This record gives sequence, structure tokens and C-alpha cells, in this order.
Amino acid sequence: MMLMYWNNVVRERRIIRGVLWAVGLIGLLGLEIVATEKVSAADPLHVRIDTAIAAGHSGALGKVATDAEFLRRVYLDLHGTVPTTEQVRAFLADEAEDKRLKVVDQLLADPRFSRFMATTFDVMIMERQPDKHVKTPAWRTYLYESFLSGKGLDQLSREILSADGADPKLRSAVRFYLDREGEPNRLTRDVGRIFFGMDLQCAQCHDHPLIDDYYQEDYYGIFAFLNRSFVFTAKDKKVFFAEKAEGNVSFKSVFTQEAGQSGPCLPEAMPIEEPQFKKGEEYQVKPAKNVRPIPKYSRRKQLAARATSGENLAFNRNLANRLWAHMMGKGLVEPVDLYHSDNPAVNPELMELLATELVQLKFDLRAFLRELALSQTYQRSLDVPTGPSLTKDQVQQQLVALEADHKQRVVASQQLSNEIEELRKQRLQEKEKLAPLTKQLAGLSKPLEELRKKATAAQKVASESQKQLTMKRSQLVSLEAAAASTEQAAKALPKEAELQKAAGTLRKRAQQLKPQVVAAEKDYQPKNVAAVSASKMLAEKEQLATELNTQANQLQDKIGQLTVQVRGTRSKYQQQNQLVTLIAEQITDINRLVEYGGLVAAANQSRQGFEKIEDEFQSMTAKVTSLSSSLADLEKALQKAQQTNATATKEVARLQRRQSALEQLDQLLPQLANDLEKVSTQLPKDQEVVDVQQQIKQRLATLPTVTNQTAKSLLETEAVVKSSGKQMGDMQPRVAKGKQELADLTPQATALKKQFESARSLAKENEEKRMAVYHKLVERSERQFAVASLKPMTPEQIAWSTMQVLGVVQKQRVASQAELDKKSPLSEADQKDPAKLAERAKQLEDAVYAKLKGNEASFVKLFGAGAGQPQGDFFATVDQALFMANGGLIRGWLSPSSGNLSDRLNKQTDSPALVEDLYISILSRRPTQGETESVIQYLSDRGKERSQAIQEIVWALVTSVEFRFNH
Amino acid sequence: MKCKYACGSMEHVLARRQFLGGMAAATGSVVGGLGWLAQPAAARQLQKDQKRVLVVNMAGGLSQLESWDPKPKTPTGGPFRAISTSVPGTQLCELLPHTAKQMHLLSLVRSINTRENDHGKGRHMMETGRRPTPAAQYPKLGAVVAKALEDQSGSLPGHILVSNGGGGGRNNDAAYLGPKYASITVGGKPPQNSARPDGLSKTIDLQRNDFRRRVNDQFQLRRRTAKTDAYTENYEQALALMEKREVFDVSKESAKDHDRYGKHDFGKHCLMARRLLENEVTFVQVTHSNYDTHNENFNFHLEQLGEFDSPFATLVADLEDRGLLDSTLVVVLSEFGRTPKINPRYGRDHWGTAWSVCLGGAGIQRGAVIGKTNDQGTAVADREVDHGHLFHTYLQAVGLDSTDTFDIGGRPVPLADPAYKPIEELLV
Repeated sequence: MMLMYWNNVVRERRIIRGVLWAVGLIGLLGLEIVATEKVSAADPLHVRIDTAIAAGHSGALGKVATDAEFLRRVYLDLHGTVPTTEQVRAFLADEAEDKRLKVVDQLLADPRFSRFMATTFDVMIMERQPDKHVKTPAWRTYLYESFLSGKGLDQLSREILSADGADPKLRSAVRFYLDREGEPNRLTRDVGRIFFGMDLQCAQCHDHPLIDDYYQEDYYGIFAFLNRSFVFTAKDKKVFFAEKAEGNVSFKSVFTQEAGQSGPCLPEAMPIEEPQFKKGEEYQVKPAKNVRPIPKYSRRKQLAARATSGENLAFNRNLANRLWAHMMGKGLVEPVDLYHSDNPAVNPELMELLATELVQLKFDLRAFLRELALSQTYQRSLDVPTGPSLTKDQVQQQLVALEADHKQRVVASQQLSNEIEELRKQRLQEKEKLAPLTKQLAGLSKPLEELRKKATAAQKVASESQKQLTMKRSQLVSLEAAAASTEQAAKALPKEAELQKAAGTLRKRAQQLKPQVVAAEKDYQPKNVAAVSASKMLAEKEQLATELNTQANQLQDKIGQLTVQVRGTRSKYQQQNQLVTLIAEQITDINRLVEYGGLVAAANQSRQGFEKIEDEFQSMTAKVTSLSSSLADLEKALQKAQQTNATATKEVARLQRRQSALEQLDQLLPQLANDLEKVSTQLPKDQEVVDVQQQIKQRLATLPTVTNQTAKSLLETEAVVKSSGKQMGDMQPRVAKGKQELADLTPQATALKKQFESARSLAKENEEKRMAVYHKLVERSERQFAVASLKPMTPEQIAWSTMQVLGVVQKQRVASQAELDKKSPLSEADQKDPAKLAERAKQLEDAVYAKLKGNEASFVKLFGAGAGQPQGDFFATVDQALFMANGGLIRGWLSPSSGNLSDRLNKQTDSPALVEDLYISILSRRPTQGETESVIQYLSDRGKERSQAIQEIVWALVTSVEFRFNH
Repeated sequence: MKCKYACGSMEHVLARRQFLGGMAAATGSVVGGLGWLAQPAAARQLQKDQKRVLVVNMAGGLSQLESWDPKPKTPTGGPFRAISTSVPGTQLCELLPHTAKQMHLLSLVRSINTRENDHGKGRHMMETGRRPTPAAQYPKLGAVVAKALEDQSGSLPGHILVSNGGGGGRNNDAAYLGPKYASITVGGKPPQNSARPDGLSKTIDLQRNDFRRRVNDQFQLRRRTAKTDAYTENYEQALALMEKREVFDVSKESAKDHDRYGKHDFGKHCLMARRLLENEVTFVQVTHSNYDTHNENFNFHLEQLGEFDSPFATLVADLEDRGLLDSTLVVVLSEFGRTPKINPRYGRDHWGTAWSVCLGGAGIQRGAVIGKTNDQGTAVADREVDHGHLFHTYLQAVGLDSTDTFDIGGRPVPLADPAYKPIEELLV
């Protein structure tokens, strides 16, 4: 049934592809289709994976990751830690073509793989729930040993799902149930999520309000496998997960009040038929005080067996999807516990292929992961390829076809959805008919029992009486016969007195018996009537019950048939609806590629437009600048000339004033001299008069020189006035012209500036629009596994990788190795024995793990999600950053101590070699030239504090995005 | 109850896919991040007017009769009187004289019936707005508002419980919202690892961080996502928090304020709460313990509320004075109330049937009284509500649409129990 369904899906997809082929879209989209038909089933799975991925993606595929990138990734995914420095160097140096294959096989064979898988499955199954009845170390050891021994995942799941805790070897497997307190609702949710990839929690009280595919009866289908089980504590306080043989499930929708009953039923499977046992015969071990009951028929064992048989598609798909998500960073179905037809696998063919192949590989974890690791899909680079761009015209026809197809399928799925509702309505009607019958039947059982008792009693009374009657009758017959024959004998032998007497006695006895017979007959008659009537009444009621039962059975059959029909139609609906979703996504992808082409063109155009305007604007700016600066020079010169002119003009005025004063003096002084002459004759020997006379004489003597000088100065200054006046006359029109030029240019320049600014903001805006769609395209490429995605490391990966790169693990390995060699040295013969060496490798792994797992806990506390929550969601909190930045643990590991990374780098005096070691050790790759220079620069800036500087750089790399993510 | 999209248009199909898984997960539902990389969050529109929540948890079960819903002179009313408040017509028990003067800022809901008399379950219901079920864990109010009102630019944790000691790690109360929104307990000490270690100067620390940024810029040229942004942003927030360590040191408040709030723990915690709210911490909870008064209910309430009343009233008045009350929801809650019937030990027992909560600020009306109990307080007489209605009301009061849905890694999860609605008449 299910296989048929999936074949249909594949066929449908091929039809879509047929449409694409027909309209020649595939080439355009870069859909490098190697038609599914061409892929041979003989091809290894990893080849078929790549084919399916290429077929499902509308765009270019990423190129292959570098060796360094691949090595880091595969170590993280298979061993949970980055490789050591030596491992990176050896791998990079290896020139073998198949070195990637070799390293995958080598990693899978290492005990560290089993260790990491034990951690991974613990987190997947228990989601960091705290320990209750089974301790984590024991549980992890159980998982570790399961993986060491190569136990299939089907068997592992079977052990976990059927666990009761009784088998000492499988004791830890009961942790899944017991540490969830055996609470059936909690178990239903987590069995659904973890083993079938469906979170039915919201369908507990009603059909899921948001997800069409999740029905309340699905929830109770799983619930019915689990509700008979309970936590049982034995007298010695040991706790088991026990099961009863009774307990049926009925439920009622809180929305519609529709009631239902459910037997056990797996997701995407039909209800199961269960064996019936007579009352009292249901148990191998009957329940009693302090006794753990064991039913003959265990529903939980059925769950385990049916889920893991390889026939249940939901189980297979969930497991394959979770393993895929582990390697590729995201599930084909994502979130991994939310599979439904509105959220189908991003590539349904691949999903089906993986689910089928996982079964083919007998659920072998190593074999399956090996195929994933060898695929090109896994080995793709993080770098995003540039895809083709499309124009609207190129895809117009195709879009029309797809949209028409989409529309048709929407109608079809709506029709199927209606059919489901119709069938459910019919079933509800049948249920409604059944309800009174069931009630009536239930009501009949007591009267029937009474009637049965009455009839039996009456029958007993009647037959007792009949027995009496029969006895009396036969006595009478015997007596009469004896009397008759005796009488005959007496007749023949009349003289025999005794004979005569005997005949008389016999006759008399017979006569005496007759009324007794009559009485017995009288007694019997009514009793017989009563018995007959009681039987008749019973028969009537029984008849009624049989009829009702037949009716009820018919109705139940009908309900059963309708349930099968509902499930069948639901499959069809899911198939149709998932195509609706996928085609819609395909249409969106194509439209987005077209849109992106347009956005790239627009971004380029506006960038070019901007660049052109920028050139113009720049030359205009240069022009304005030079104009302004020469104008400024000119204005400065003019100003200077004006200043000179003004100063000179002032000086001319002053000189002219002086000249006229000198002229007056020239006239006054001779007169004064004469007057003084007169005075001196009148006042001879007056010394003061003599002095004045002397002074005047001197002045008179120098006056012509002074006058001449003044006249000369005046001439010179007047010349300056004239020349600067001329300069001004020359410059003023030039300045005016320059000003005019600048004024003329201003509107043009302003307009250009505006243009420039708007071109710049347009280019920015268009680039942002392009980037927004670019990021969506990258997301879609990631989602379709066309490029590698960034996977945040798990808390355990961060812990072990940090310890690895800082040298903590290596130090411990050396110490543990020495301890082991001392405790139980390997002889030379041992050292050539692969089995002994493998054993020693495991011992070493166990010893190192035991010593360092405490550190793991410090990281889990900060980087792990809450207990019982999905553990895959990324989050970043301030306390994580504070722990990495200031925490004592990291500080301790950073500070140099013999044999750790800082110590080794300190001893390296050659700086480029130091940087190489640094990058290989922490980021598992060689540094680029720029990076080398940058580190050397940092070291030299820090001068003598080289050791401190090394720690700072180591810290910066360990806290970098490149280290935090697996890529 | 299926949601059928009859039109079946492409937009609907894709919107559903986006909503129900797949693509939403692909876009990476992490908070943080920058510009176009970040998911449009409900918080965006609120950024300008950052809302906050203060919860005062009266642990053990506060008696509504000795506080918000007094029934003096009745057989159930106990020995205390009722006093008038700043709201005409509204009376409180006389044990709350200071709070009575602030009632014009606050409101009461007197008609709560949670039908739950168990401490653990009652607390769960009041803190998460949902009944406990073994099959699921729900985030507490603090985690819900810390996520929904997250201030992208803030460097302090959004969900803080004030308690003695503190300075420890984060608690496990955010369920599916993730540890980023889990509470941290803060006493007098700053958060773990927030001090720069000896031997590392600030200058050198900033230098190594510069180097880290350069390394990141280089790598992010190859791939930059919301997750890488959240991771790098985280280190910036750590640096910012290291600068703001003093926010966690209540001794930096003035001696006068220490006097006003009182020297006892609850007073200090109220002052600390004010300090944190002023520094834009989204959710702060102060606990006052213990009200589980099966014996000597009246003496205990006299003592306990004597301690509670003044610092609480001071805090409400301060928030109002500083203009913070319009953006800060204040709720005084408990896991349940106490029985009207007084037991032979003068105690009152657990009572989820008819009790009260006091709340105010942000979008809550001022001075309102919602619902009432009957004369002796033995039953709700009008407008019965429970934890579910209250939870919706809290969210609406801080501007959230309580019927909205979080996208948790592609899984749609309602903010509050979809079976309930807010108490509309209590909202502004």
C-alpha cells in the first residue's frame, strides 16, 4: 500500500519533470537532470544521492570543498571533534586520489566514532532529560557498545521501544521510557517525534488546528501502544516498565465533541488486528501484589516490532532524515519532527531513496553514513556558485504550465480533502448508529444472564420432576407386569396359597402406586410448562442479542472499512498536497531567479549610472574647485591692491598736507628769523633767545631738503596710487567674470550633486534589494543541498574541538598512553597484531574520554538547549561569550604549559612557521598570505609580550565564527 | 477544526509552508543579527518604546482577605479593618496603608478562580498561563516577554530574578523559547565571568577583540547568516555587559534611597528592581516569602505585609515619578489565595477558588477593579477569570498581540494558551 503510494509520488514528479522537459526549461534553469530512469540501481547510493540532488535544484551546484575543509567537516561529523595538527598535515600531504574515501573508512573504524554516535543518539533520544531511573553513563555505555558491535539501528530501536528493564543486558535501553516517568502522553509525543518524525502533541485534545495531516486519532493510535504500560517498582525497589493486558483508548475532541476509540495504529499504517484471549487467560504472569505482570500479547512489543520491521515508512524516513540532518546540517524534512504534506521533504525522491536504502543496508549506521559522506553533496564547498539568470520571457510558458498544474492540483487536493471529511462524516454516522446498539447490547447482558439462570433453574426443576415421574411410571409398569405374570401363575397353580397371596399383594401395590403416578404427572406438567416458557423467553432474548450483535459487527466492519478508506484517502491527499507545496515552491524559485536576474541588471545599471554620474560629478567638482580657487587668488590679489591703493592714497593726502605745511613754514621762517634777530638785539645775551634763534636757523637750513624729500615721497606715493589703481582696474572685471562663471556653473553643479546623490542612493537601494534576494537564493540553495551549509557545532563538538586545538586532548592521550603501557605493556608480537592494537586503541579512547568528559559538561551547561527541548536550534547567549572570554577553564588552557598549543607556539621563533602551525591547529587549514602578515603584525605590535600576544591570537581564532561553525 | 484554505492560492500555500516549517527553518529563526539578515520580530515596532514587566511574587499564597479584597466584620473577614485608598470607593485591608495611597496607579482583579490548590501547579499556572501537562513544558512569563520584547541593541539579559545570592548561571524556565530567554538569578553580584581576569588589561582585551573581528569579517565574506551575526554580536554584548557590571550592584544607589526602601532584603530587592528596570531590563521578578500561613495567618500577614507595603508603594511611586510606569507592567501575584474559612489554628489554607491579583502600569487601566467575590468571599460573584485570561492580559498590556505565534525553529507556537482571551475591560 505504502510502496504503491510512494511510487505514485515518484511518477507524479516525473510528470512534472516531463512538463519541464517539454518546454525546455531544464537547460535554462541549469537543472542538470540525469533522468532518474537512467540511474542504475547498481550505482552506489552516494551517486544516486547526487543525481537526485541535481535533479531537485533550480540553479547551479556548489563546487567541491577543499581537502582541508572536507577533513575538518568529516572529523566533526564522524568523531565530534576537529582533526589534530598532524592529521591535517598528513591529509594535505597525501597525494592519493582516494584519500577522502580512505579517511572516511578510517574514521568509521575508530572507537571514537562509536563514542561520538553514542553522544549523538543520547542527545537525539533523551534530549538532555535529567536522569531518573537509569544513569546517563550506563545508558551511554549501552549505546557505545551497541555501535562498537555494529548493531543495526532497527535492532537498537527495537530494544529501546520494547524495553521493560528486566533483561540485565538491555537494562539501560529502558531509559527512554522510564526517565520520562512512563507517562503515556509524554511518551506518545516523544515516540511520535523521535521515532516517526511527527510532533502530534497538538492533536492530543483535538485534530491539529494548524496541520491538516495530524488527526487526533493518529495521536491515540500511538497512545494505544503505550497506555497499558506503567512504571512498576518491585519489592527490592528496582524499577521496571511493566504492561497490562487491558486498557482501551477512547477520546473526545474538545472542539467538536466527536468521540472516538482507538486501537494501536502506527503513523502511515493501517489499524492492526489483535489476538483475543478468554477472560483470565490474557497473562503469562498475572498481576498481583508485588508481581510484575507480563501479558501474553504486549502492545509495546508490537510497537517495537512493527516500527522496525522495515515496512513502516514513517519510521524509515524519520531515521534516514535524522542521519541526513546529522551529516548535512539540515533534514530533507525540516524541522525533523514536523513531517506533513504542507511541510514535505524538500526532495521527496531522495527522501524515499534514503528511506528505502537504509532498509536495504539493514539499518547499518556505518554503511549509511559512509554513503552520505562519499557523496558530492556532502563534499560541497561553502562558496556560493553564480547561477544562470533568467528573463521573464524565457520562463513565461513554463510558468504558465506550472501554474496551471498547480491550480489543478489545488482543486484535486481540495477534492480529496472533502472526500476525507465526507468519509469521516459517514464514519461518524455509523458510529452514531453503533452507539445505541452498543448501549442496548450492554443493557441486554444482565437480563440475559438472569433469564439464562431462570431457564436453567426451571429446567432443573422440571427434569427433576420428570425423573420422579419416569421412575414412578416404570415402577408401576414393573409392578403391573409382575402382578399380571404372578396372577397368571396363580391361575395355573391355584393350590399355591403363597402364590395367590403374592399376586394379591402385587396387584394391591400396583393399585397403590397409580395415584402416585398421577400425582407425579400433576407435578411435572406445570413444571415442564414453566421450563419450556423460560427457555422460550431466553431463546427470544438470545435471538435479539445475536441480531444486535450481527448488526453491531456489521457496523464495526463498516467503520473499519471507512477507517481504511480514510487512511487511504489521506495518503492520496498528502501526496497531492505535498505536490501543491512543492510546485508552489518551484514556481517561487523560478520567479525568484527571474527577479534576481532583473535585480542584478538593475543593480548593475544603477551602479554604472552612479559611476558615470560620479565621473561627471567629480570633473564638475574639480572644475568648480579650480574656478573657485583661482577666483579666490584673484580676489586676494585685488584685495591686496585695494589695500595698497587705500594706504597710498592716505599717504598722498598726508604728504600733501605736509607739503602745504612746509610751504607755509617756508614763508614763515624767514620772517621769524628776522623777528628773532630783532629780539636778540633787544635782549642780548639772553641764552634762551639765543637757543631759539639757533634752532630756527637750523630748521631754516634743513627746510629745503625736507621739502624736497616730501615732494619726492609724494611723487612716489602718487605713482603707487596710480599703479595699484590700475591693477584694481585690471582685476575688478576679472573677478566679476570669475564670479559670473561660478554663478553660471552653480545650478549645473547643484543639479549634478543632486543627481549624484540620488544615483548613489539608488545604487545602494538596488544593491540591498539584490542582496536580500541573493540571500534567499543562498538559503534555497542550502535548503536543496546545492551548497554546503554552516552547521553550528553541538556543545560536545565545541568542548572536544576546543580541547583538541588547545592541546588538552593530546596531553591527556600522552599521559593515558604512558599509563596503559606501564600497566599492561604490549609485546612486540602484540604490536603486530591488529586485534591487539585495536583493543589498545579502544582502551586509550576510553581512558581519555573518562578523564576529560567532565569538561564536556561545562560546555553543555552553557551551549546546550533546555532539557526535553529539541536540541538542534542554534542560540547565542551572553554567558557563553563571557565564559569563552573570561572563564577560568579557557584561560587555563590558553596559558602555556608543557605540551599545549601556546607552549608549542612560544617555542617557535620563525614567525611564518608559527602562523602556519596556528592556523592548521585551530582552523585545520593553512593561512593565507594576508592572514600570515596580519598575525605577524599583531605580534610585532605587542613587542616583547610575545607569549601574551600568542595567547590573544589563539583566543581570537578559537572564538571566531570559522571555529564555532562546522562548514 | 481544520483550517482549510478554500481558495488554495499560491500565497496561502507558501505562507503555510513558511509558517509550518521548512522555509521558516531555512531562514534561520535566531534572534539577533543585523539589518536584512534578521527576522522581522514583533519587537521591532516596540523598539522605540521599550516595554518592561515587573512581577512581585507573593510566594506561598497571599491572603486576598488581608490584602486586596477585605471582608471586614464578616465571619470570614478576620480581625483587620478595611481602609480607603486613593481611589474613591476602593478599599484595601489596613495592612497596606502605603499601597492604598498608590491605588490610583494600580488596578485589582478580584474574581480569580484557578481551581487549583497545589503550590507547584498553581505557580506553574500563574507563571506560564497554562495548566501543567506531563507531555509539554511551557516558558514562563519572563521568558515570553524577554523574547517578544527583546531589545536587539540591549546588552543586559532580558529575564532577571532578584534574589539573595545570585550571580549564578541561568535557570531552566524558557522551555522551547531556548536558553537565551531563560532567567538569571541576580543578588548583589554581577553575572558569572563578567569581570575581566587579572593580567588582561582592557586595552589588550579590546585589541584581541579587534583581531577576532578582523578574522570574522574575512570569513563572513564567504558566508554570512543570521546565525553568524548572532554569534559575533554576542561577543559585543558581552563586552558591553562588562562595561555595565555596576548595574547589578545595588550599593551604588544613594543612601537616601536605601533608607526609603528599607534595609531588609525585600526593600533592597525592590531597589534593585528599580535599578534594573531603569537600565531597560525587560523582565524583573522580585519574590517575597512566605505567605503559606496555615497557622497564625493574621500575625504572619501583619508581619509580612508590614515589610511588603512600604517598599512596594515606594517602588510604584518612583516608577511613576520617573515616567517609567507608562511603559512598565507591574503585577503582584501569588500561586493562589487563602481560604475564607479560618481554621482552628487561626490559619487560612490553600484557596484557588476566589482570590485577587493587583496590577498596573503600561497598558493597564489605572484605578480599576475587575470582578468581585460574594459577601464572605467564598465564591466569585462576577466576571470570573483565571490564569489564562491574566496571562493574555499581561501580554496585551505591554503591547503584544497575545494571540500571536512564535516561530521556533520552524515550529509555530502560540504566545499564550489559544483557548483564552485577555480581560479587555482592564486594558487602556
